[in-house]
Amino acid sequence: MATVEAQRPVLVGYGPLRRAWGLARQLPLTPTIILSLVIMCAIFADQLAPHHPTEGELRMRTKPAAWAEGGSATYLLGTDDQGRDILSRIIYGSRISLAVSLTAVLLAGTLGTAIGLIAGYKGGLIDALLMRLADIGLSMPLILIAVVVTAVTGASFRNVILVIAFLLWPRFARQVRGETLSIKENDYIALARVAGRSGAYIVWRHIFPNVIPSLLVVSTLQVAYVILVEGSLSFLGVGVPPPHPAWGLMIAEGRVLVWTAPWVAAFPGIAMGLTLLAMNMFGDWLRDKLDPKLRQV
Amino acid sequence: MMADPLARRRRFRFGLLSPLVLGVLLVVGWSSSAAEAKDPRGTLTIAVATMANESFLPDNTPGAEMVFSNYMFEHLVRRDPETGENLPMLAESWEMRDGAATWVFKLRRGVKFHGGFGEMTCEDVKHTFTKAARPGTANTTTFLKKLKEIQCPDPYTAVVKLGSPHPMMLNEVNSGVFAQTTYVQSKKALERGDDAANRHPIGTGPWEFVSHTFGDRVEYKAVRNHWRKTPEFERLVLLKVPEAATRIAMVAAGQVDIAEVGVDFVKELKAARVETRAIAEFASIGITLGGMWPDRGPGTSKAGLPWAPLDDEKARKVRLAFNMATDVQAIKEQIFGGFLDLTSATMFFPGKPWTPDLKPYGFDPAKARQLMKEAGYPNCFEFTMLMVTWPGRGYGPRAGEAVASMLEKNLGCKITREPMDRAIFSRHFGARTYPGKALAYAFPQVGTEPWEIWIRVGHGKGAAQISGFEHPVMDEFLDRISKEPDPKSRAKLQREMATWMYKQVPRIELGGTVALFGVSKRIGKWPLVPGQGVPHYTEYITRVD
Amino acid sequence: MQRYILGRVAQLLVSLLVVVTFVFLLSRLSGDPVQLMLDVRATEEEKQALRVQLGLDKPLPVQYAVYLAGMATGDFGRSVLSRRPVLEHIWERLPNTLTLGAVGIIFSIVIGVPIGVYSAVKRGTALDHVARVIAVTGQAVPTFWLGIMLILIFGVWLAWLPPGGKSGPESYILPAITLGYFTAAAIMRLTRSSMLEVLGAEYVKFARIKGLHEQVVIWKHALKNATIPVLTFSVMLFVIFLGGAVVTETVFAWPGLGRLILEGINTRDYPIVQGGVMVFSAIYLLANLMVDILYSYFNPKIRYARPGA
Repeated sequence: MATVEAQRPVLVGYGPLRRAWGLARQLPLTPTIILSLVIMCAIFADQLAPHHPTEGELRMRTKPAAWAEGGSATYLLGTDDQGRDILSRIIYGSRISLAVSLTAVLLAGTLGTAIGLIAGYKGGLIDALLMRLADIGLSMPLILIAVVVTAVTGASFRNVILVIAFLLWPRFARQVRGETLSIKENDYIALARVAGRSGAYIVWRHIFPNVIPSLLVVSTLQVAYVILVEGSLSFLGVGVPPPHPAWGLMIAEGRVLVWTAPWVAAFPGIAMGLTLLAMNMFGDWLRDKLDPKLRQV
Repeated sequence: MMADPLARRRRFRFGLLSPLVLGVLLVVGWSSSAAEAKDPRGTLTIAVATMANESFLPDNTPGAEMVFSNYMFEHLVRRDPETGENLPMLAESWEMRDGAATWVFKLRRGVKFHGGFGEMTCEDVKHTFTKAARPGTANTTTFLKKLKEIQCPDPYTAVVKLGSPHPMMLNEVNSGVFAQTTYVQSKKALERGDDAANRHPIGTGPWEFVSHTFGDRVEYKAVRNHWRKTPEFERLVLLKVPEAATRIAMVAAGQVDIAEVGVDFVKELKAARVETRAIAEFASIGITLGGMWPDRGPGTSKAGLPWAPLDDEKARKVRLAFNMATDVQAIKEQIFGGFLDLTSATMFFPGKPWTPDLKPYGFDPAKARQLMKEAGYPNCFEFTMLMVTWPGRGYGPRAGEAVASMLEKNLGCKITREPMDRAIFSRHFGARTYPGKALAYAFPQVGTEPWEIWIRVGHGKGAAQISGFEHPVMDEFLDRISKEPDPKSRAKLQREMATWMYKQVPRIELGGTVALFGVSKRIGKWPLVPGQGVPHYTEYITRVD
Repeated sequence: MQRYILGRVAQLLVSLLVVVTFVFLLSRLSGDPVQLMLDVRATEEEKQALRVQLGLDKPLPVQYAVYLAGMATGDFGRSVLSRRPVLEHIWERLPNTLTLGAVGIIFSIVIGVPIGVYSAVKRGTALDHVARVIAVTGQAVPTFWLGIMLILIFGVWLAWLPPGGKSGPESYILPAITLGYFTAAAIMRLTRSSMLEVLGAEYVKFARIKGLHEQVVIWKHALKNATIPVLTFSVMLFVIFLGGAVVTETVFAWPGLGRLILEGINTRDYPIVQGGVMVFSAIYLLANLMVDILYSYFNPKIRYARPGA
């Protein structure tokens, strides 16, 4: 939650991409391992999952994990109330979590960045107008609005992504606008103007590249947040529809089985928790790297 | 307690609806045996999944409201849990006239409304029913739609005149039948205005209204020296707890005494060591295949439906294949914990006079694949299944998911699941706008005989359509049965109707099930009427501690 | 300062208008409410009669104007289900949401502040590491999952606490922990960093030189100054709690406003949804406004983004 707004020193003439590569070589171990695992699961779900994610074997309903009494090696993490393999569903579920969160963040990021750049560069009335809009967006009770919208428009992948993206863009816009304002003050921007470069050119070539590092930080943290929101929506029954193995949905389905099969809700929650943990740690690390000033916080 | 579901079933004898039933029964039998005067004490808490409209107004109660209001009100008639016979309640006797188009009720004298609202008379019956039948009413009771007028020749006689014969009238003014909100309320109390009547409803039942918090609870207190039965508990609290897991945990912890729990949680209740009570013959579950009806305008029909029309031989093969690809036995054991009567037609519970001796279609995936090939769909096809949630009856979607998964696995179908609240689906079943969609649905018992639900949801002229098909033969059966006053002839006609349906294979049939309650250790005897799916007759519950 | 506050209040009103308009449009776009209110067998005349009664026969802009006027005067209409005034239902539920939020805040402060202080004072020790782990996991554990696990352990296995519903004071414990765990972790982080900052400050060093007992230095001098950001943050906690109310109230069958709205959605009781979202958003926006004002007032060095960021 309480993330610190990065007041990043401006990077001039120092390839942000090269810098990113430099960072990549000193990635923190734990979050990197977890995240790579999640990403691998998402990409190679078909190869990795031992069972079909939605076609269960009803007679194998609510079998416990392999190491527990009554468990079998066939179902490592046990089965749910439809006799579906929980491990396979978690593996396929990573695909949903990542697909929804990455798409939503990409959409919100693109929109927010564009608005932030325009507002920051143009200033004046446009800036005031766009930022008031962003403030309104930021002050909304996000989950509540998302629940109302998805419930009314119907639960589906597309709607979940669109709603989340729609509610998320102001976070990017604010960040980018703030950075644009400070970058704008640099001499080389003034020089570019004098040289007769168009506003679009300046924004694209001089400002945008310098915004990328902090965009990465915000995006990483927002990906984690979107996973949580998507999970909440699925949990409330207005997110990704069944039988898709969305983690939030799996937890909701497992909730009614806490008496007889607590593992059905427990394992997807652990998977989700670990992913969020890694995502947050990674985001924190990235922020520390890009903004050493705030490292101790 | 959980041994054999069938062992709990009580035998019913349905000699009850013969013409000219003259009920001269006084309050005798099972109620009087428990009538030693005990001072009420303690609180009886009941957790339910939904309180529906949460309204007490006669014209704003489609039926499911019975779950929180039947305690404080009384009907004209009640039902014997043992024999299924109609017994006097507010009416001491009744008479059917004009071929069931007129019903005369002799009212009990000396029944007092709560809170000093005076004695119950015919004027109260007239006012309540007339209000319930007003244009724009939400009350769904059939006789109200036919209501012409109610006459009060004297304070204790109510003459109900209907526009057409209605032999099943007694089922609709009955506290022992599910979803009947035809209580008698105080005219004087209703005339205070809707808000006042809704905020503080007045009835004649053994529990008196205390308070209502929307979406949370209704509280009642015991009426001392009630004419019928003074409850053994001092207070009655109805709690709305939508989550099944929470209801189970609450009853296991002794936080509530009775919890409405879907039959799919039998194993959870057992694991929580909660004692259960089951109401037999409550609902019938299956997958309806929408679209086997004539075009009725935009959105009501879809061309090239593999499972339609009803008469098409290839379509019949598809429907039969769907049934044979469904392992009903596994669903019975795994999801319903054994509480599923495998039947071959909706609402036809085994062992009834109207139920023909027909075997379920049986599980045979190889044969099913063969049938699909013959029908021209070797790899099945794509369609949507609506998972309709009735609060507290999660087994509909759960069973639906199992069937969908089996059809995908055994036949290669591609099925999109669409969760839908029952309140929203009601729009579609009214307008018949779900052609080509399958529908996981639990039909609740709303009468005493199968045709009573069928005529509501499977008749070509019916305002609702949940059976998936309409057919002139079916309509003819239903029309004939509905006019037939003789129970034996009705039973015979229904056997023929069920046999005809069986041959058509109209839907994926799973079977009939019970309504289940988890109860705390404090609950002793509790007489329950089969088919009446909400907690009722709580005044007859005996305390154990 | 005054201008700033006025500006923010104006913005609050605009935000509220946006929310209200949004919900109005959504509810009108999603189908005919009359269809839901009446029996399937209702005739067209019956439907029309109800439409007239509810004002649904008028053109959309007129409906909107009527609706806005109602919202402004506190007339939120009547519940489709119960037909009672929506405001009555909201008043019944709102206290439950607010008291749960308050208990949650107390919980997170009681847990978060001492651990934060200790881990700052004993920096680098095992306790500090444990605190950091709690702080990090606090952000990663999904609320609804935590709630279910708490129910499982304390409501089901140990049977110490009621698994759901609002009854006695003990029924607050599990939902408050669920709500507060997340924020306790955040408070812990915040207290730790503020304490670190303050402990390095001149006056604290001076107090130490004066020979004051170390405990007094920590708890009186240092914590007092570290409190400002923490207090400000507590108001923000309230905002966070409101945001999580729908989920937590659902998990614990808590009769609050969030669940009222969610059930209104499930049953398509739009007047309830509209009124509920309106009141909920108003409180949320107000709390948000207070956060902003407090921040600009104290002007702390570290600026925290809004909840959820």
